[in-house]
Amino acid sequence: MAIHNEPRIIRPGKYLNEALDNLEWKLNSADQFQIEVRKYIDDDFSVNEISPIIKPNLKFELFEENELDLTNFNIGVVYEESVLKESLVMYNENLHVLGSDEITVPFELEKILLWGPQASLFVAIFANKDLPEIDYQHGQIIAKKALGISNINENANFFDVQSATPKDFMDMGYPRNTSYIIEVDPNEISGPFERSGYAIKITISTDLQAIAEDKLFMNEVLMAAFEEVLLVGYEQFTYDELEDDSILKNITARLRAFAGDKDLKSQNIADWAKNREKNKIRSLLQHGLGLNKMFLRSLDNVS
Amino acid sequence: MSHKILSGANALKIIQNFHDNTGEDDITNLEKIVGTGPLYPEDEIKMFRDKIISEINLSKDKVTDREKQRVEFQSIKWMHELLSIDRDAFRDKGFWIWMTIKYFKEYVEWRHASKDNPARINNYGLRPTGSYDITENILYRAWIRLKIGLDETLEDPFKYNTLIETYDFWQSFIVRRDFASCENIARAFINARFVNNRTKEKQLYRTIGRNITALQSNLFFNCLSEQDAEAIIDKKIKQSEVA
Repeated sequence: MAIHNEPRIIRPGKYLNEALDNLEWKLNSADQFQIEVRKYIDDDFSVNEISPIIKPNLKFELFEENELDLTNFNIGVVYEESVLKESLVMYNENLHVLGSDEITVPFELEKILLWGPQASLFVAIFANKDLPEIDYQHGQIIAKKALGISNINENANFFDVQSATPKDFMDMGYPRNTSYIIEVDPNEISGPFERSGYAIKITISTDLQAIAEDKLFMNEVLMAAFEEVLLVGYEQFTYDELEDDSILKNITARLRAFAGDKDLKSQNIADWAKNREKNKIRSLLQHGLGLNKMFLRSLDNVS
Repeated sequence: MSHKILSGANALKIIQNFHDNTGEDDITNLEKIVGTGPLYPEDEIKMFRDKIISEINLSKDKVTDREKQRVEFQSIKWMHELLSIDRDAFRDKGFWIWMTIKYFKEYVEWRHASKDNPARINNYGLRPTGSYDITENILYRAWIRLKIGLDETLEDPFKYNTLIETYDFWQSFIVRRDFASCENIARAFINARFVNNRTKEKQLYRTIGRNITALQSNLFFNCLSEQDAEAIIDKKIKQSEVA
Protein backbone atom coordinates (compact mmCIF):
# COMPACT_ATOMS: atom_id res chain seq x y z
CA MET A 1 0.00 0.00 0.00
CA ALA A 2 1.47 3.29 -0.94
CA ILE A 3 1.31 6.35 1.22
CA HIS A 4 -1.74 8.50 1.12
CA ASN A 5 -0.72 11.83 2.43
CA GLU A 6 -3.38 14.07 1.02
CA PRO A 7 -5.60 15.92 3.48
CA ARG A 8 -8.09 13.81 5.35
CA ILE A 9 -11.71 14.35 4.54
CA ILE A 10 -13.37 12.17 7.11
CA ARG A 11 -12.56 13.15 10.63
CA PRO A 12 -13.05 10.06 12.69
CA GLY A 13 -14.39 10.46 16.17
CA LYS A 14 -12.13 7.80 17.49
CA TYR A 15 -9.11 6.46 15.79
CA LEU A 16 -7.77 3.33 17.46
CA ASN A 17 -4.58 2.80 15.53
CA GLU A 18 -2.88 1.31 18.57
CA ALA A 19 -5.30 -1.59 18.29
CA LEU A 20 -2.95 -3.12 15.73
CA ASP A 21 0.32 -2.15 17.42
CA ASN A 22 1.17 -5.72 18.31
CA LEU A 23 0.41 -7.17 14.89
CA GLU A 24 3.08 -9.62 13.79
CA TRP A 25 3.62 -11.23 10.45
CA LYS A 26 5.96 -13.50 8.56
CA LEU A 27 6.55 -14.41 4.94
CA ASN A 28 5.85 -18.14 5.32
CA SER A 29 5.70 -20.83 7.95
CA ALA A 30 9.51 -21.17 8.00
CA ASP A 31 10.03 -17.46 8.63
CA GLN A 32 10.04 -15.71 12.02
CA PHE A 33 7.30 -13.36 13.10
CA GLN A 34 8.25 -9.69 13.16
CA ILE A 35 6.47 -6.56 14.25
CA GLU A 36 8.14 -4.24 11.70
CA VAL A 37 5.91 -3.53 8.73
CA ARG A 38 8.54 -4.11 6.07
CA LYS A 39 10.19 -7.44 5.29
CA TYR A 40 13.46 -7.52 3.43
CA ILE A 41 14.32 -10.31 1.05
CA ASP A 42 17.49 -10.76 -0.98
CA ASP A 43 18.02 -11.88 -4.56
CA ASP A 44 18.29 -15.52 -3.49
CA PHE A 45 14.87 -15.54 -1.93
CA SER A 46 12.26 -16.88 -4.30
CA VAL A 47 9.00 -14.97 -4.23
CA ASN A 48 7.31 -18.31 -4.87
CA GLU A 49 8.10 -19.20 -1.29
CA ILE A 50 6.00 -16.34 0.01
CA SER A 51 2.70 -17.19 1.63
CA PRO A 52 2.28 -14.63 4.40
CA ILE A 53 0.89 -15.35 7.84
CA ILE A 54 -0.47 -12.53 9.97
CA LYS A 55 -1.11 -12.63 13.69
CA PRO A 56 -3.23 -9.56 14.47
CA ASN A 57 -2.67 -9.72 18.29
CA LEU A 58 -5.52 -7.26 18.49
CA LYS A 59 -5.78 -5.10 21.59
CA PHE A 60 -9.40 -6.01 22.31
CA GLU A 61 -9.37 -4.06 25.57
CA LEU A 62 -9.17 -0.76 23.67
CA PHE A 63 -12.63 -1.35 22.24
CA GLU A 64 -14.08 -1.78 25.67
CA GLU A 65 -12.26 1.28 27.00
CA ASN A 66 -13.64 3.34 24.15
CA GLU A 67 -17.10 1.82 24.42
CA LEU A 68 -17.05 0.42 20.91
CA ASP A 69 -19.04 -2.71 20.21
CA LEU A 70 -16.80 -5.36 18.61
CA THR A 71 -19.64 -6.67 16.47
CA ASN A 72 -19.78 -3.34 14.61
CA PHE A 73 -16.27 -3.76 13.29
CA ASN A 74 -14.52 -6.09 10.90
CA ILE A 75 -10.90 -6.84 10.28
CA GLY A 76 -9.96 -6.98 6.63
CA VAL A 77 -6.76 -7.97 4.88
CA VAL A 78 -6.33 -6.80 1.32
CA TYR A 79 -3.68 -7.98 -1.07
CA GLU A 80 -2.58 -5.31 -3.49
CA GLU A 81 -0.24 -5.45 -6.49
CA SER A 82 0.75 -1.93 -7.36
CA VAL A 83 2.06 -2.53 -10.89
CA LEU A 84 -0.79 -4.77 -12.02
CA LYS A 85 -3.19 -2.52 -10.13
CA GLU A 86 -5.00 -5.45 -8.63
CA SER A 87 -6.43 -5.83 -5.20
CA LEU A 88 -8.25 -8.66 -3.55
CA VAL A 89 -9.81 -9.18 -0.15
CA MET A 90 -7.98 -12.05 1.48
CA TYR A 91 -9.78 -12.01 4.75
CA ASN A 92 -12.80 -10.15 6.10
CA GLU A 93 -14.21 -11.21 9.43
CA ASN A 94 -16.21 -9.72 12.25
CA LEU A 95 -13.98 -8.81 15.18
CA HIS A 96 -16.00 -10.74 17.71
CA VAL A 97 -15.10 -14.00 15.97
CA LEU A 98 -11.42 -13.13 15.83
CA GLY A 99 -9.50 -14.82 18.59
CA SER A 100 -5.79 -15.31 18.71
CA ASP A 101 -5.94 -16.90 15.27
CA GLU A 102 -3.36 -16.51 12.55
CA ILE A 103 -4.57 -15.21 9.21
CA THR A 104 -3.22 -17.12 6.22
CA VAL A 105 -3.70 -16.78 2.50
CA PRO A 106 -6.81 -18.77 1.60
CA PHE A 107 -6.01 -21.85 -0.40
CA GLU A 108 -8.06 -20.78 -3.41
CA LEU A 109 -6.11 -17.52 -3.68
CA GLU A 110 -2.65 -18.99 -3.33
CA LYS A 111 -2.33 -19.66 -7.05
CA ILE A 112 -3.56 -16.24 -8.16
CA LEU A 113 -1.61 -13.95 -5.89
CA LEU A 114 1.80 -12.88 -7.09
CA TRP A 115 4.18 -11.88 -4.34
CA GLY A 116 7.21 -9.66 -4.40
CA PRO A 117 8.25 -6.11 -3.69
CA GLN A 118 5.25 -4.59 -5.44
CA ALA A 119 2.75 -6.68 -3.57
CA SER A 120 1.58 -5.47 -0.21
CA LEU A 121 -0.89 -6.37 2.45
CA PHE A 122 -3.17 -3.82 3.95
CA VAL A 123 -4.71 -4.71 7.27
CA ALA A 124 -7.57 -2.55 8.52
CA ILE A 125 -10.24 -2.51 11.16
CA PHE A 126 -13.33 -0.80 9.84
CA ALA A 127 -16.96 -0.14 10.63
CA ASN A 128 -19.05 -2.87 9.01
CA LYS A 129 -22.12 -0.63 8.73
CA ASP A 130 -23.12 3.01 9.16
CA LEU A 131 -22.94 3.95 12.83
CA PRO A 132 -24.52 7.40 12.90
CA GLU A 133 -24.66 7.50 16.69
CA ILE A 134 -20.86 7.66 16.79
CA ASP A 135 -20.48 9.37 13.45
CA TYR A 136 -18.91 6.47 11.59
CA GLN A 137 -19.80 5.52 8.09
CA HIS A 138 -19.69 2.05 6.59
CA GLY A 139 -16.13 1.15 5.70
CA GLN A 140 -14.56 3.81 7.88
CA ILE A 141 -11.14 2.70 9.07
CA ILE A 142 -10.25 3.02 12.73
CA ALA A 143 -6.94 1.18 12.68
CA LYS A 144 -4.66 0.14 9.87
CA LYS A 145 -1.28 -1.24 9.02
CA ALA A 146 0.40 -1.61 5.64
CA LEU A 147 2.79 -4.54 5.30
CA GLY A 148 5.29 -4.66 2.48
CA ILE A 149 8.21 -6.59 1.06
CA SER A 150 11.38 -4.97 -0.25
CA ASN A 151 14.37 -6.33 -2.03
CA ILE A 152 17.30 -5.47 0.13
CA ASN A 153 19.49 -4.62 -2.85
CA GLU A 154 17.09 -2.46 -4.78
CA ASN A 155 18.06 1.07 -5.55
CA ALA A 156 15.71 3.02 -3.39
CA ASN A 157 16.62 6.41 -4.76
CA PHE A 158 18.05 7.57 -1.50
CA PHE A 159 20.97 9.25 -3.17
CA ASP A 160 21.37 12.16 -5.44
CA VAL A 161 24.92 11.74 -6.67
CA GLN A 162 26.54 14.74 -8.30
CA SER A 163 30.05 15.54 -9.38
CA ALA A 164 31.99 18.73 -8.82
CA THR A 165 35.27 20.19 -10.03
CA PRO A 166 37.75 21.75 -7.56
CA LYS A 167 36.38 25.14 -8.63
CA ASP A 168 32.81 24.01 -7.90
CA PHE A 169 33.85 22.94 -4.43
CA MET A 170 35.51 26.30 -3.84
CA ASP A 171 32.40 28.10 -5.04
CA MET A 172 30.41 26.10 -2.50
CA GLY A 173 32.79 27.19 0.21
CA TYR A 174 34.78 23.94 0.54
CA PRO A 175 38.54 23.42 0.07
CA ARG A 176 39.47 22.85 -3.57
CA ASN A 177 40.88 19.37 -2.90
CA THR A 178 37.67 18.11 -1.30
CA SER A 179 37.01 14.51 -2.38
CA TYR A 180 33.34 14.29 -1.48
CA ILE A 181 30.69 15.97 0.61
CA ILE A 182 27.51 14.56 2.02
CA GLU A 183 24.44 16.63 2.69
CA VAL A 184 21.41 15.32 4.52
CA ASP A 185 18.18 17.20 4.96
CA PRO A 186 16.49 15.98 8.16
CA ASN A 187 13.08 17.09 6.95
CA GLU A 188 13.43 15.08 3.78
CA ILE A 189 14.52 11.89 5.50
CA SER A 190 11.58 12.02 7.88
CA GLY A 191 9.32 12.19 4.83
CA PRO A 192 7.77 9.26 2.99
CA PHE A 193 10.09 6.77 1.38
CA GLU A 194 8.34 5.99 -1.89
CA ARG A 195 7.75 9.42 -3.28
CA SER A 196 10.52 11.62 -2.13
CA GLY A 197 13.84 10.54 -3.52
CA TYR A 198 17.22 12.07 -3.03
CA ALA A 199 17.16 12.75 0.67
CA ILE A 200 20.89 12.34 0.65
CA LYS A 201 23.04 14.41 -1.62
CA ILE A 202 26.55 13.23 -2.31
CA THR A 203 28.93 15.37 -4.33
CA ILE A 204 32.05 13.59 -5.54
CA SER A 205 35.06 15.29 -7.01
CA THR A 206 35.30 14.78 -10.78
CA ASP A 207 38.84 13.42 -10.53
CA LEU A 208 37.66 10.69 -8.16
CA GLN A 209 34.92 9.39 -10.39
CA ALA A 210 37.26 6.94 -12.03
CA ILE A 211 37.68 5.18 -8.73
CA ALA A 212 34.04 5.57 -7.79
CA GLU A 213 33.51 1.88 -8.36
CA ASP A 214 36.48 1.00 -6.25
CA LYS A 215 35.11 -0.95 -3.30
CA LEU A 216 37.16 0.70 -0.60
CA PHE A 217 36.38 4.17 -1.74
CA MET A 218 32.71 3.34 -2.07
CA ASN A 219 32.64 1.83 1.36
CA GLU A 220 34.13 4.95 2.79
CA VAL A 221 31.59 7.20 1.09
CA LEU A 222 28.73 4.93 2.04
CA MET A 223 29.69 4.59 5.65
CA ALA A 224 30.04 8.33 5.92
CA ALA A 225 26.68 8.85 4.20
CA PHE A 226 24.72 6.40 6.34
CA GLU A 227 26.41 7.60 9.51
CA GLU A 228 25.42 11.14 8.62
CA VAL A 229 21.83 10.10 7.93
CA LEU A 230 21.48 8.34 11.26
CA LEU A 231 23.15 11.09 13.27
CA VAL A 232 21.30 13.96 11.62
CA GLY A 233 18.00 12.09 11.57
CA TYR A 234 17.87 10.89 15.14
CA GLU A 235 19.17 14.16 16.45
CA GLN A 236 15.85 15.62 15.31
CA PHE A 237 13.44 12.73 15.61
CA THR A 238 12.84 9.83 17.92
CA TYR A 239 12.25 6.44 16.38
CA ASP A 240 8.67 6.30 17.66
CA GLU A 241 7.55 9.55 16.14
CA LEU A 242 8.66 8.58 12.63
CA GLU A 243 6.07 7.36 10.18
CA ASP A 244 6.46 3.72 9.17
CA ASP A 245 7.11 4.77 5.60
CA SER A 246 9.68 7.44 6.35
CA ILE A 247 13.04 7.27 4.64
CA LEU A 248 14.87 7.29 7.96
CA LYS A 249 12.91 4.37 9.36
CA ASN A 250 13.38 2.56 6.09
CA ILE A 251 17.13 3.04 6.09
CA THR A 252 17.32 1.98 9.72
CA ALA A 253 15.39 -1.19 8.96
CA ARG A 254 17.66 -1.99 6.03
CA LEU A 255 20.78 -1.53 8.12
CA ARG A 256 19.28 -3.78 10.75
CA ALA A 257 18.54 -6.43 8.13
CA PHE A 258 22.07 -6.19 6.71
CA ALA A 259 23.59 -6.70 10.14
CA GLY A 260 22.12 -10.21 10.18
CA ASP A 261 21.67 -10.12 13.94
CA LYS A 262 18.15 -11.12 14.82
CA ASP A 263 18.40 -9.72 18.35
CA LEU A 264 19.23 -6.29 17.04
CA LYS A 265 16.22 -3.99 16.85
CA SER A 266 15.80 -0.89 14.72
CA GLN A 267 15.18 0.93 17.98
CA ASN A 268 18.73 0.01 19.13
CA ILE A 269 20.24 1.62 16.07
CA ALA A 270 18.16 4.72 16.61
CA ASP A 271 19.31 4.88 20.24
CA TRP A 272 22.96 4.63 19.25
CA ALA A 273 22.54 7.49 16.83
CA LYS A 274 20.67 9.62 19.32
CA ASN A 275 23.45 9.07 21.88
CA ARG A 276 26.05 9.66 19.16
CA GLU A 277 27.67 6.27 19.82
CA LYS A 278 29.62 6.40 16.60
CA ASN A 279 31.68 3.30 17.30
CA LYS A 280 28.60 1.15 17.40
CA ILE A 281 27.20 2.71 14.27
CA ARG A 282 30.44 2.19 12.41
CA SER A 283 30.68 -1.42 13.45
CA LEU A 284 27.16 -1.89 12.17
CA LEU A 285 28.02 -0.25 8.85
CA GLN A 286 31.04 -2.49 8.42
CA HIS A 287 28.59 -5.16 7.34
CA GLY A 288 28.23 -2.89 4.39
CA LEU A 289 28.88 -5.35 1.57
CA GLY A 290 25.23 -5.33 0.67
CA LEU A 291 25.10 -1.58 0.84
CA ASN A 292 27.40 -1.44 -2.13
CA LYS A 293 24.84 -3.11 -4.33
CA MET A 294 22.22 -0.63 -3.23
CA PHE A 295 24.50 2.23 -4.04
CA LEU A 296 26.02 0.98 -7.26
CA ARG A 297 23.22 2.08 -9.48
CA SER A 298 23.22 5.58 -8.10
CA LEU A 299 26.89 5.80 -8.97
CA ASP A 300 26.24 4.44 -12.45
CA ASN A 301 24.51 7.64 -13.18
CA VAL A 302 27.12 10.10 -12.06
CA SER A 303 27.54 12.51 -14.87
CA MET B 1 6.78 -18.39 -18.70
CA SER B 2 9.91 -16.29 -18.85
CA HIS B 3 10.47 -12.81 -20.15
CA LYS B 4 13.22 -10.33 -20.89
CA ILE B 5 14.07 -7.27 -18.86
CA LEU B 6 16.40 -4.33 -19.16
CA SER B 7 17.93 -2.43 -16.27
CA GLY B 8 17.22 1.26 -15.91
CA ALA B 9 20.91 2.14 -16.18
CA ASN B 10 21.28 0.25 -19.47
CA ALA B 11 18.06 1.75 -20.76
CA LEU B 12 19.36 5.24 -20.01
CA LYS B 13 22.59 4.59 -21.89
CA ILE B 14 20.69 3.33 -24.92
CA ILE B 15 18.35 6.32 -24.94
CA GLN B 16 21.29 8.67 -24.56
CA ASN B 17 23.09 7.15 -27.54
CA PHE B 18 19.85 7.11 -29.50
CA HIS B 19 19.36 10.82 -28.81
CA ASP B 20 22.99 11.59 -29.59
CA ASN B 21 22.81 9.52 -32.76
CA THR B 22 26.00 7.71 -31.82
CA GLY B 23 24.95 4.38 -33.26
CA GLU B 24 22.59 1.68 -32.11
CA ASP B 25 23.56 -0.28 -28.99
CA ASP B 26 23.29 -4.03 -29.21
CA ILE B 27 20.50 -4.66 -26.75
CA THR B 28 20.94 -8.42 -26.95
CA ASN B 29 24.08 -8.05 -24.81
CA LEU B 30 22.22 -6.06 -22.19
CA GLU B 31 18.82 -7.72 -21.89
CA LYS B 32 18.35 -10.42 -19.27
CA ILE B 33 15.94 -13.32 -19.09
CA VAL B 34 14.01 -13.90 -15.89
CA GLY B 35 11.81 -16.84 -15.03
CA THR B 36 11.74 -20.27 -16.59
CA GLY B 37 9.84 -21.84 -19.44
CA PRO B 38 8.95 -20.43 -22.86
CA LEU B 39 9.81 -16.79 -23.48
CA TYR B 40 7.20 -14.10 -23.88
CA PRO B 41 6.52 -14.12 -27.65
CA GLU B 42 8.52 -11.35 -29.28
CA ASP B 43 6.76 -11.81 -32.60
CA GLU B 44 3.58 -10.50 -30.97
CA ILE B 45 5.44 -7.42 -29.81
CA LYS B 46 6.80 -6.90 -33.33
CA MET B 47 3.29 -7.11 -34.81
CA PHE B 48 2.06 -4.58 -32.28
CA ARG B 49 5.00 -2.30 -33.07
CA ASP B 50 4.44 -2.63 -36.82
CA LYS B 51 0.79 -1.74 -36.43
CA ILE B 52 1.69 1.44 -34.57
CA ILE B 53 4.43 2.38 -36.99
CA SER B 54 2.17 1.91 -40.02
CA GLU B 55 -0.40 4.18 -38.36
CA ILE B 56 2.26 6.78 -37.64
CA ASN B 57 3.36 6.66 -41.26
CA LEU B 58 -0.22 7.24 -42.41
CA SER B 59 -0.48 10.37 -40.34
CA LYS B 60 2.85 11.75 -41.44
CA ASP B 61 1.55 15.02 -42.79
CA LYS B 62 -0.78 15.93 -39.94
CA VAL B 63 1.11 15.36 -36.76
CA THR B 64 -0.94 17.43 -34.37
CA ASP B 65 -1.22 16.67 -30.69
CA ARG B 66 -4.71 15.33 -31.32
CA GLU B 67 -3.34 12.93 -33.89
CA LYS B 68 -0.67 11.73 -31.47
CA GLN B 69 -3.32 11.16 -28.84
CA ARG B 70 -5.47 9.32 -31.33
CA VAL B 71 -2.71 6.86 -32.18
CA GLU B 72 -1.80 6.32 -28.54
CA PHE B 73 -5.41 5.67 -27.58
CA GLN B 74 -6.06 3.41 -30.58
CA SER B 75 -2.97 1.44 -29.61
CA ILE B 76 -4.90 0.24 -26.56
CA LYS B 77 -7.16 -1.68 -28.93
CA TRP B 78 -4.25 -3.15 -30.90
CA MET B 79 -2.54 -4.10 -27.69
CA HIS B 80 -5.63 -6.02 -26.69
CA GLU B 81 -5.77 -7.76 -30.04
CA LEU B 82 -2.07 -8.53 -30.45
CA LEU B 83 -0.35 -9.02 -27.10
CA SER B 84 -0.72 -12.02 -24.80
CA ILE B 85 -1.21 -11.17 -21.15
CA ASP B 86 1.45 -12.60 -18.89
CA ARG B 87 0.96 -11.33 -15.36
CA ASP B 88 4.48 -12.31 -14.35
CA ALA B 89 5.96 -10.25 -17.17
CA PHE B 90 3.47 -7.40 -16.90
CA ARG B 91 4.15 -6.84 -13.23
CA ASP B 92 7.87 -6.59 -13.93
CA LYS B 93 8.78 -2.97 -14.61
CA GLY B 94 11.98 -4.16 -16.30
CA PHE B 95 9.84 -5.94 -18.90
CA TRP B 96 8.00 -2.75 -19.92
CA ILE B 97 11.29 -0.87 -20.14
CA TRP B 98 12.87 -3.65 -22.20
CA MET B 99 9.92 -3.79 -24.60
CA THR B 100 9.88 0.00 -24.99
CA ILE B 101 13.61 0.38 -25.56
CA LYS B 102 13.91 -2.58 -27.91
CA TYR B 103 10.88 -1.93 -30.10
CA PHE B 104 9.22 1.39 -29.42
CA LYS B 105 11.88 4.12 -29.25
CA GLU B 106 10.69 5.71 -32.48
CA TYR B 107 7.12 5.65 -31.21
CA VAL B 108 8.06 7.35 -27.92
CA GLU B 109 9.95 10.03 -29.84
CA TRP B 110 7.09 10.54 -32.30
CA ARG B 111 4.62 10.87 -29.44
CA HIS B 112 6.67 13.05 -27.11
CA ALA B 113 9.56 14.83 -28.81
CA SER B 114 9.05 18.51 -29.51
CA LYS B 115 10.50 20.49 -32.36
CA ASP B 116 13.63 21.29 -30.40
CA ASN B 117 13.88 18.56 -27.81
CA PRO B 118 13.81 14.77 -27.83
CA ALA B 119 11.31 12.89 -25.65
CA ARG B 120 11.98 13.12 -21.94
CA ILE B 121 13.38 10.21 -19.98
CA ASN B 122 10.13 9.80 -18.05
CA ASN B 123 8.16 9.22 -21.25
CA TYR B 124 10.15 5.99 -21.44
CA GLY B 125 9.22 5.20 -17.84
CA LEU B 126 12.53 6.13 -16.24
CA ARG B 127 13.88 8.74 -13.89
CA PRO B 128 17.15 10.52 -14.64
CA THR B 129 18.78 8.37 -11.94
CA GLY B 130 17.87 5.20 -13.83
CA SER B 131 15.14 4.01 -11.51
CA TYR B 132 11.84 2.99 -13.04
CA ASP B 133 8.98 5.48 -13.19
CA ILE B 134 6.63 3.03 -14.75
CA THR B 135 3.33 4.92 -14.64
CA GLU B 136 4.71 7.29 -17.27
CA ASN B 137 5.82 4.54 -19.65
CA ILE B 138 3.95 4.82 -22.94
CA LEU B 139 3.09 1.09 -23.12
CA TYR B 140 2.38 0.49 -19.45
CA ARG B 141 -0.04 3.38 -19.25
CA ALA B 142 -1.88 2.03 -22.29
CA TRP B 143 -2.13 -1.36 -20.66
CA ILE B 144 -3.53 0.02 -17.39
CA ARG B 145 -6.13 1.93 -19.37
CA LEU B 146 -6.96 -1.25 -21.24
CA LYS B 147 -7.15 -3.29 -18.08
CA ILE B 148 -9.30 -0.87 -16.12
CA GLY B 149 -11.14 0.89 -18.92
CA LEU B 150 -12.20 -2.00 -21.10
CA ASP B 151 -15.94 -2.41 -20.81
CA GLU B 152 -17.24 -5.60 -22.41
CA THR B 153 -20.84 -4.56 -21.82
CA LEU B 154 -20.51 -1.84 -24.45
CA GLU B 155 -20.95 -2.26 -28.16
CA ASP B 156 -17.49 -0.74 -28.45
CA PRO B 157 -15.63 -2.02 -25.38
CA PHE B 158 -12.89 0.57 -25.97
CA LYS B 159 -15.30 3.48 -26.19
CA TYR B 160 -14.03 5.40 -23.16
CA ASN B 161 -10.40 4.59 -23.79
CA THR B 162 -10.26 5.94 -27.29
CA LEU B 163 -11.91 9.32 -26.69
CA ILE B 164 -9.55 12.16 -27.58
CA GLU B 165 -8.74 14.72 -24.88
CA THR B 166 -9.06 12.23 -22.06
CA TYR B 167 -5.35 11.83 -21.42
CA ASP B 168 -5.41 13.87 -18.24
CA PHE B 169 -8.35 11.96 -16.78
CA TRP B 170 -6.84 8.54 -17.38
CA GLN B 171 -3.25 9.39 -16.63
CA SER B 172 -3.68 11.68 -13.62
CA PHE B 173 -6.58 9.89 -11.99
CA ILE B 174 -6.36 6.24 -12.96
CA VAL B 175 -2.85 5.24 -14.07
CA ARG B 176 -1.05 7.21 -11.36
CA ARG B 177 -3.54 6.57 -8.58
CA ASP B 178 -3.52 3.77 -6.06
CA PHE B 179 -7.29 3.75 -5.70
CA ALA B 180 -7.51 2.45 -9.26
CA SER B 181 -6.46 -0.94 -7.87
CA CYS B 182 -9.87 -1.19 -6.26
CA GLU B 183 -12.24 -2.14 -9.07
CA ASN B 184 -15.48 -0.87 -7.55
CA ILE B 185 -14.31 2.63 -6.86
CA ALA B 186 -12.39 2.93 -10.14
CA ARG B 187 -15.44 1.75 -12.06
CA ALA B 188 -17.74 4.20 -10.28
CA PHE B 189 -15.33 7.05 -10.97
CA ILE B 190 -15.05 6.14 -14.64
CA ASN B 191 -18.82 5.82 -14.95
CA ALA B 192 -19.35 9.25 -13.45
CA ARG B 193 -17.03 10.70 -16.06
CA PHE B 194 -18.06 8.82 -19.18
CA VAL B 195 -21.39 7.05 -18.71
CA ASN B 196 -23.29 9.68 -16.79
CA ASN B 197 -21.14 12.56 -18.01
CA ARG B 198 -21.49 14.07 -14.57
CA THR B 199 -17.83 14.93 -14.14
CA LYS B 200 -17.06 15.86 -17.69
CA GLU B 201 -15.59 19.14 -16.60
CA LYS B 202 -11.92 18.94 -15.92
CA GLN B 203 -12.08 20.86 -12.69
CA LEU B 204 -14.84 18.64 -11.35
CA TYR B 205 -13.25 15.27 -12.06
CA ARG B 206 -9.97 16.56 -10.69
CA THR B 207 -11.67 17.57 -7.46
CA ILE B 208 -13.47 14.25 -7.17
CA GLY B 209 -10.29 12.34 -8.02
CA ARG B 210 -8.36 14.11 -5.30
CA ASN B 211 -11.21 13.50 -2.88
CA ILE B 212 -11.16 9.78 -3.56
CA THR B 213 -7.41 9.64 -3.02
CA ALA B 214 -7.82 11.37 0.32
CA LEU B 215 -10.73 9.13 1.26
CA GLN B 216 -8.61 6.06 0.67
CA SER B 217 -6.76 6.70 3.94
CA ASN B 218 -9.99 6.50 5.84
CA LEU B 219 -12.30 4.22 3.98
CA PHE B 220 -11.85 0.52 3.35
CA PHE B 221 -12.74 0.63 -0.35
CA ASN B 222 -12.42 -3.09 -0.83
CA CYS B 223 -15.34 -3.83 1.48
CA LEU B 224 -17.68 -1.62 -0.52
CA SER B 225 -20.24 -2.94 -2.95
CA GLU B 226 -20.67 -1.40 -6.38
CA GLN B 227 -23.68 0.52 -5.08
CA ASP B 228 -21.69 1.81 -2.08
CA ALA B 229 -18.94 3.00 -4.40
CA GLU B 230 -21.45 4.73 -6.69
CA ALA B 231 -23.06 6.38 -3.66
CA ILE B 232 -19.73 7.73 -2.44
CA ILE B 233 -18.90 9.28 -5.80
CA ASP B 234 -22.43 10.65 -6.05
CA LYS B 235 -22.10 12.28 -2.63
CA LYS B 236 -18.76 13.81 -3.57
CA ILE B 237 -20.17 15.24 -6.79
CA LYS B 238 -23.09 16.78 -4.96
CA GLN B 239 -20.79 18.27 -2.34
CA SER B 240 -18.59 19.77 -5.05
CA GLU B 241 -21.56 21.19 -6.90
CA VAL B 242 -22.81 22.91 -3.77
CA ALA B 243 -19.35 24.29 -3.08
